[in-house]
Amino acid sequence: MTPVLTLLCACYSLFIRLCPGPFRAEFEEELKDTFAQAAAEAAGGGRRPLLRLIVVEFSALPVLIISQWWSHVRQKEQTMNDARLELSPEPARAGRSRWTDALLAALPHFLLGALTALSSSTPSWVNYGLLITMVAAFFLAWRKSWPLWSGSWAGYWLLFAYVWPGSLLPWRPALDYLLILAPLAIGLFLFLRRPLYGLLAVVAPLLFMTRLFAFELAAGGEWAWSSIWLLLGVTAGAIVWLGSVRAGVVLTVAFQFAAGLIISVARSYLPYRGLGPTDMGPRPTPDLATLVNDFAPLTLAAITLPLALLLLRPLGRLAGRAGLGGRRSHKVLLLGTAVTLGGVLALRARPDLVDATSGALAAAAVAAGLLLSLGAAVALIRATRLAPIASWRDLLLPLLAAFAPLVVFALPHPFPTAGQYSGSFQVQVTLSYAGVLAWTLLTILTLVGGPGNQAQKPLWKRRLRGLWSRGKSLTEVNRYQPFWRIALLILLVVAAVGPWTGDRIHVPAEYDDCSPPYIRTEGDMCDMIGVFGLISGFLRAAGWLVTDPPADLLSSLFFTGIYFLYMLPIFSTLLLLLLAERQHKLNFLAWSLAIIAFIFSSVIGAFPPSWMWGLRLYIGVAIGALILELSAFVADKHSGPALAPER
Amino acid sequence: MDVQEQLPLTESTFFIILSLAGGPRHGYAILKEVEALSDGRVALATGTLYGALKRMLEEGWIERVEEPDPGEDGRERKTYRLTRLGRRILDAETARLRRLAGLGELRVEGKGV
Repeated sequence: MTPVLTLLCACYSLFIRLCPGPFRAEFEEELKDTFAQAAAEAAGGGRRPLLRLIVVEFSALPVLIISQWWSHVRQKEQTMNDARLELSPEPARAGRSRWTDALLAALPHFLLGALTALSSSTPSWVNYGLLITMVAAFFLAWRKSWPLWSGSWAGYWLLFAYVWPGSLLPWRPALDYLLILAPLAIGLFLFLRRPLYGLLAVVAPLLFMTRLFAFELAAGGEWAWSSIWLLLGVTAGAIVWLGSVRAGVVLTVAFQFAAGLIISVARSYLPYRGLGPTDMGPRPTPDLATLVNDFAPLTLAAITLPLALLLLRPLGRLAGRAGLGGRRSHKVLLLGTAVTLGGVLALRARPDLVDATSGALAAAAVAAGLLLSLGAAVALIRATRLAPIASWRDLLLPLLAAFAPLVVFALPHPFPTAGQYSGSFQVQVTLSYAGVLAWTLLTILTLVGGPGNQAQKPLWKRRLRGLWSRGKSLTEVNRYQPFWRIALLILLVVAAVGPWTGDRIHVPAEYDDCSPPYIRTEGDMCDMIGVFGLISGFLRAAGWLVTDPPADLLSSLFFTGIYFLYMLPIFSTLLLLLLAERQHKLNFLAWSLAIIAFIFSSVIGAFPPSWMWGLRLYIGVAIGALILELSAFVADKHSGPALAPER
Repeated sequence: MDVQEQLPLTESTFFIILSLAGGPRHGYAILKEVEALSDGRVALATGTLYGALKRMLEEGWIERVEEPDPGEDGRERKTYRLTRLGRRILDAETARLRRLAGLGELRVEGKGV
């Protein structure tokens, strides 16, 4: 074989390596053989046939690679769906394609989105049209025996059903009860019978419940609402299309998270109506406490409900092993929830104790209470019946449930500072903290074999030892790789775009407002958002390449380079998502470089990043990513022989 | 399976199963046969061929058989042959094309509508 042919074959082999593993395992050798034969024959015919072959073969490769990856992802998705046996998918509806169902599920949200976009000049016929569509959808769903897509519409039917009578009641706490208890009860009722239907029905009311007055004061918030409805439509469509409960829960939680983020950012950055010297008030200073106050508690409340629905099943299984048939755990759960909600709503009925801002606190308390009730239910079962816990999977979600509310307390300035509220309110907050701590301790102690559970201690020890020796629970982490990697990627992008700065200028507030890419951080200082610095740095570098001497260029690129290192994990995580194989080392290298850049810039003092929420989020994501990636790496090692052979 | 649902076939797919109608063939032989059948008009890329073969294997139109005699390099070569379903699809597509061609002829020669 001539050197040219050898080189051609080597190039072809390199491209083939970009195809997914299973395809390569099946066809790689044949592809290479066939190509080599075709190339040898073409080379025998002279330059022209060889050139033609090169064009034909190499232009076909991108199509092959993309189509094989698409087919691979679809097959993987199908396999995952098939594997979700215990959470059985809804039966496929005969006579309609799933795409049609997905579209119908997305439709009410899209309609609401369109209505919101038109809100400033909505003619009344649009409202009537929407109402007629809702009624028509109701009758269509009724005639078709309530197909899955009607779950999306059911959310709005229910919303009408319980908001309308609620609005007639003059006593405000009654409305609170309706707004909070009704979706919870209806969602639970529906979920226990048809999990996906319940999720679809509850996703919109959850948003309303927590964010009804989100843009009451924000000017120009319509775009944010419209984008949220669009996102909601896509989420509902995806839930129907995937047809899996677990994916549905993940999507619902992700949607609430994204919607909460959009709303919180819009509320923090958009000017206020009716505030300031003019009607359109000044842009508020981006403030971590404001954002966290707005985002964390309400979002936590919104994501708790679908999470709680998912938790019911392991709880039921655990209780079943304890000989309780799942009944008592549900009773404990409902009792705990009722007590928590009752307490919170009673608190809301006493506005002299708390002011308006504490609505967020109350919502957070609902979420925390619900989760803690679940944890308490597990603890109670373990304490009373010494139920053997056969699988770590049973423990995983309740443990997460027990710890999740602590996230709120771990965030900086989550609640109003001291002195803003009355003494009695502070006492209540302190008691809440103590209560959370006590419940969590009880849960942990009971789960791992504390007082009254000494008999279980060896089991716990064996489990812990088994965790590291067999990597069992790590395999669980591995199984959900695509989900948490997508979440990590989204969070990384949000953290990258969120404010963290490296360039600070002095602009007194009375002279000028900080215009993008600068934002006002404190006092008279304006800081440039890092991501803009990165983009503008590269753009300027292009100009400097022509005009400036190399030494100046290098020093000018320093900040851009440092910031680029922070962004490397975004690309490495994306690579992991797309290729999923053998990219761990590259990913760890990217994170290491980012950490080095951080240490270099903050400890040595070159372009120290300012401590804004973007950077804080980045650090949080970095810690989470390293833990998860390390777990996935270890799990890969453990399950190495089971994986498809690498080439 | 209703073979009519699989129709019409793309030109590449049609030529690939047509080439296999003459007997089992390995990848390179399929490429050459397709080129010969189409008078050099259709030159399949190797990637296109194996993408199509994979799909047809999954659909059950063709099956893979090990060649009894290994090649010069000692490696066993994989050949492909039509299954019964593949043959039915080829027949159905040929009949469809024949009908279309007939209609075309009628119109061109002015014998029909």
